[in-house]
Amino acid sequence: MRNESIDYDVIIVGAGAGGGVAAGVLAEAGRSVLVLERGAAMRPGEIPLDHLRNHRLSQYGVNTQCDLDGIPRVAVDAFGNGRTVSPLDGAYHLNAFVVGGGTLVYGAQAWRFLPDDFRMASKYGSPEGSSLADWPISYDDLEPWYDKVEWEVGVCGAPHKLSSPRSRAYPMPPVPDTLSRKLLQAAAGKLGWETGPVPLLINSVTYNGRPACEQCGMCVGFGCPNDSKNGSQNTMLARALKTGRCTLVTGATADRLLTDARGRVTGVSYFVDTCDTPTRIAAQAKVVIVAASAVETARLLLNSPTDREPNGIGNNADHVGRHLNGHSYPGANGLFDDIVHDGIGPGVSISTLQFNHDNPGLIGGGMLANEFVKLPIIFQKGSFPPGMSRWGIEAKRYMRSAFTRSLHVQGPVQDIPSPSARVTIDRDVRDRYGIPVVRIGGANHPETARVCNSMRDRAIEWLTAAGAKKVWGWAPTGGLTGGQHQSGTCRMGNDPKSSVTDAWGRVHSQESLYIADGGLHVTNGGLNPVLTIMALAWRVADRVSQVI
Amino acid sequence: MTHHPPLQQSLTLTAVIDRIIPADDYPSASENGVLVFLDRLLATDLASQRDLVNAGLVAIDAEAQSRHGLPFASLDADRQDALLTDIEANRVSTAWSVDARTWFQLLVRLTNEGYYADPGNGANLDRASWKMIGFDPRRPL
Repeated sequence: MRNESIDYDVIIVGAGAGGGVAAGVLAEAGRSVLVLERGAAMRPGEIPLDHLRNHRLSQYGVNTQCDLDGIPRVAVDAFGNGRTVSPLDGAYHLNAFVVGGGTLVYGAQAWRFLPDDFRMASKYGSPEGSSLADWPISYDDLEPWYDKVEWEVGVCGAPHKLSSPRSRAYPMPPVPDTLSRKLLQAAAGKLGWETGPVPLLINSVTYNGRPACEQCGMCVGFGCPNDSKNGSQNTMLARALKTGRCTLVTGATADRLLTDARGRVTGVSYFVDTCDTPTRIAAQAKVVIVAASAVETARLLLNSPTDREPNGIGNNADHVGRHLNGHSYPGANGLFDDIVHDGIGPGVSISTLQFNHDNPGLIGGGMLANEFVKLPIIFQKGSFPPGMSRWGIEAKRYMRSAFTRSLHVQGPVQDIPSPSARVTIDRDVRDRYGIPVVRIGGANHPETARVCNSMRDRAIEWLTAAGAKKVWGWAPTGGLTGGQHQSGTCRMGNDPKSSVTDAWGRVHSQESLYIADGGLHVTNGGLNPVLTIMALAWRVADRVSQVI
Repeated sequence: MTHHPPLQQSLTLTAVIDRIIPADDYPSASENGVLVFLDRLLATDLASQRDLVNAGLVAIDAEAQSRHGLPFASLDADRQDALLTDIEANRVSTAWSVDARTWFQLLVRLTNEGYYADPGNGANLDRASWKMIGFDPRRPL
């Protein structure tokens, strides 16, 4: 193992939503920062536009540059049997391995969690078998950091009647209207539901020196041709690099946390390929921030046992890797007589927060919104009525008439976490560097399925009120979720017996180890999580800048 | 690129995919370049399925010969559709070396992927399917 010549103030593992934001905050605070990212740095204009290989439909590949061979995971079924899976298998729970992480290619929904999302157990009680718990912080504690992210990274939107209270307006107005927004807004009005725009980490006007969105039809899953989509890579990470105090190493896979003789974290060891030959490098720092995504962050901690923490760093209470969840997505399709879809991107433009909470007999709920402009092949795979043949002249006629006459409403349900939904280490399956990979298995608590059924029914109701002539819905059954919204594996809490980090994202057992990704989320809201990941990362990084 | 055998019975393959997406005032699957898409995909990402595709093409001709005394491509459209409907339900009367339903479902999936995906995948070069359904990427591809 080679040693880095420089000792850094901070090493950040992962250049995604959380890691990129933390890098910007710390470098601008005068700290020297090393960012390790397993993927490559890509300009948005060079991200392939392949409809079969992207981060919305990964049929045969993805459009971010990371070698997908030699990085398997093991998916565990309900009977405990493991199956080695590639990144293109849904059971892998892939998020983009690239500088910017998912934020390079995401749909960019920029929701603040709701105040009740931070106190789910107090509000609803924790059902038996679940690990539903309150956060150690309240919405009010996070509000200033949401505000910073909205203004510094860049969010367009307008508040809803039921959205979280805010200290300042959005920095940019919503993206322009679409045909579907008008239709669904009128329908929600008839039903007495509140609606509003979907806030987006997208420039609706020129902002931070980059132009406004031109409303193309290939947004989610792709890079932005205009660089109007605000990820960590073109905002906070770019700012970090501009200070001259941040070093970004791409193609770097962290394999373990380094510790001193007393088991205290002192750095990270990682692999890079030099002329196709792996080199292992040890880097030292005052503080390590792990922001590798909920799954890979847990893997790194679990792969770093010490005498003091023989089951992995931070894991003496057996919570690292548990409570994994993302979002279950119930929804419905509606077929109309008239054209209802104008193809104006990003497409997602109207949402309701009417059912995120206070649904009789249910725990939590979720948001509903119309869907992004769909790729034709995604429509072909997912938007046929049940039982309809996918071949023959009728199938072709359906594609021809239905693409512009369909609306798809769906949304993330607040999954009820379970300790059984978890990431562990499989010592028998290793990646290309010989690092043991994760096993992923378990399921959300069954209460989740009841919420999904209810949200499906609301989606059907909305489309019916909008005048759809044929409507069909679907609801997940509460199985394992993760994927692009993965969270929960290093949850925050006040009690070291029931959580991994404290309220500042510091691992309870360590003075110098912090987490800054979705792993911190105690619960994951019934809303897309990225703004919360960024806000928490900002708060964590600000804290780190005060202790070193 | 690794060596790969040619797709067998391309007349048969053309006939099958053109019943999956037939011609009307917009092109059929083969007219929209789906053979190019299939040949490329079955030599690269889906090379593992090439033998399955070829084996099914041999089998469907044997099935057509057994029922009608003609290869599949020589049947009229109604008979082709009836035969494919039976294959989809695994109602076959000759010996298939591969599962008939699995084979057909794969071809349905792949034909649609080629027909509706971007031109970079080898088919749909003039974006005929996108024009047909009303999809405009609104960005240069």
